[in-house]
Amino acid sequence: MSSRTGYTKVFTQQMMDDLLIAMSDCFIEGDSVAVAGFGVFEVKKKMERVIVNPTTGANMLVPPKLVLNFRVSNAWKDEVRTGGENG
Amino acid sequence: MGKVSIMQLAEVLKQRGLNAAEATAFVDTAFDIIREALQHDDQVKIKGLGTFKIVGVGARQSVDVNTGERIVIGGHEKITFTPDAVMREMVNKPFSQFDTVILNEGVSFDVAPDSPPPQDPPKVTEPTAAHPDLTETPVASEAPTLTPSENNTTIISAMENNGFEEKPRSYKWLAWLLLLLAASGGAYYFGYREAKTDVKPEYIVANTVKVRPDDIPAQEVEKPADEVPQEAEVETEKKEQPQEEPAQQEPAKPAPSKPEPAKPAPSKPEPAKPAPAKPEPAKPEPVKPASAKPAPTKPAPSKPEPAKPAPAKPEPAKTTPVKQEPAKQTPVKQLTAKQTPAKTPTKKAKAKAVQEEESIGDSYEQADSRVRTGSYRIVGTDRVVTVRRGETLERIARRELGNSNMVCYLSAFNGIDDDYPIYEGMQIKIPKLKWRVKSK
Repeated sequence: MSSRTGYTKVFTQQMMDDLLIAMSDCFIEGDSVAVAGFGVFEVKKKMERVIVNPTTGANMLVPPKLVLNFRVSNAWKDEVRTGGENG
Repeated sequence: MGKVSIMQLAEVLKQRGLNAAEATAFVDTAFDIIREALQHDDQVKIKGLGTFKIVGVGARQSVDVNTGERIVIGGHEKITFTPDAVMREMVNKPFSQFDTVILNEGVSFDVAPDSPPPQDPPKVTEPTAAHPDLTETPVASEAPTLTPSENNTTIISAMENNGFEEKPRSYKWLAWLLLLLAASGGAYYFGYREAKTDVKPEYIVANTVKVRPDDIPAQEVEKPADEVPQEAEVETEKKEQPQEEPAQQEPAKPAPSKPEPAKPAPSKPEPAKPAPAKPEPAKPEPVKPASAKPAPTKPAPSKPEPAKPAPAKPEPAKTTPVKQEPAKQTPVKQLTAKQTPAKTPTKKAKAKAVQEEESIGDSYEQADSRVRTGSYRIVGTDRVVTVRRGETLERIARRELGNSNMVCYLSAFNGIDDDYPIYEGMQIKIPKLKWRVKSK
């Protein structure tokens, strides 16, 4: 990546980290992050639910939580669909 | 939840000395690289963010939404993203204090559904089979909270349905419980009269007592409307069969104990009823011998203290569900069977121990009001320590019990005043303390 951008590797790394931190901050706030041509990162809340632990068979309560969700942009999604990246 | 764009992300990069244009370009490049890498490699892992993967989806048959005729949807690829651990935690920060908990009973959905009732053997397959469904449905539909329950046995689902609606009822149940506690104080002195009391009842109540702290909301449990009449029914029937208690005990006891044992007991039979066969044969065995045991060990006069709500509850509760009528045994056994077989012996032993412990602690409670109102119950002697030079009771309390405020337990247990002049070499008995279960 650094070769692409023209910055040094270290610098790039640092910037990447910054970027990620910036994104996380958004998520903490609850904001979603949209990247054109790429997709959208969203924060969604999941309700608490009851599950059965398959090993023990005991019922467990999973607390509500926030999860990060990524929705691919349509352009890219179609490209993948039709093109079929070497899978 | 607002939306943030690349621009804003790029802002952060400015502090590295880039201007707006460069920063934006960088961000764009970054994502482009991710995209290309993914096209090339099928998987891109970004530390601190997550993993992007291209997943192939197989061809499947489906119905054309427009025409309604069956068509084949060809297989294709799709891009998935899985946040990595760091990112997950960051995102979940507001909810980080929660944790997954195991539930024994309780039906209201907002706390947990009932654990598989008595039928542990048959049930084993069911929950696991249902499990995949569970994971899918909750994710798919958050609103219909009852869907997961439906994947369980119908019994549970019924109960959960009820439980879910019962949410508001939980407080009613709590009110009932408090009422019971208050009333049980009055009936308490009847308690010692029962020479022979089953473990079953105390064990039922001991269960409720024990699980209450974490299960309180859940404990309100299966109290659907249709069960209330059942409860009344069961109670009256139970009342009819006093073991050896004189008739006069009945009126006092059943009253306070009614909500208590009736609630867990009849509610448990609900789920248990459809498949009572298996657990029952097992239950009579452990329950019966256990019931014989506590009888002698529970000396009547040892529970005079009306102020002891905890023991008071098992007391009156014991009498009612005790009844040997086979039909009544069923609900009781269902309840007992409700606990996983592994738990059964422990609970019974615990129940017995509870009785004994209470008897020990009572005398101290009588002597010292601080012990009576304290958060702990004295359940015996833990050990004996010798006073060292220059020590005070507070210091000993802090060292042995964890807190110098607990000196009241020390003085009460040793029969001395807080400021008694203890001397070097004196033997101080350290009581064994048990957290007094709060009924909330």
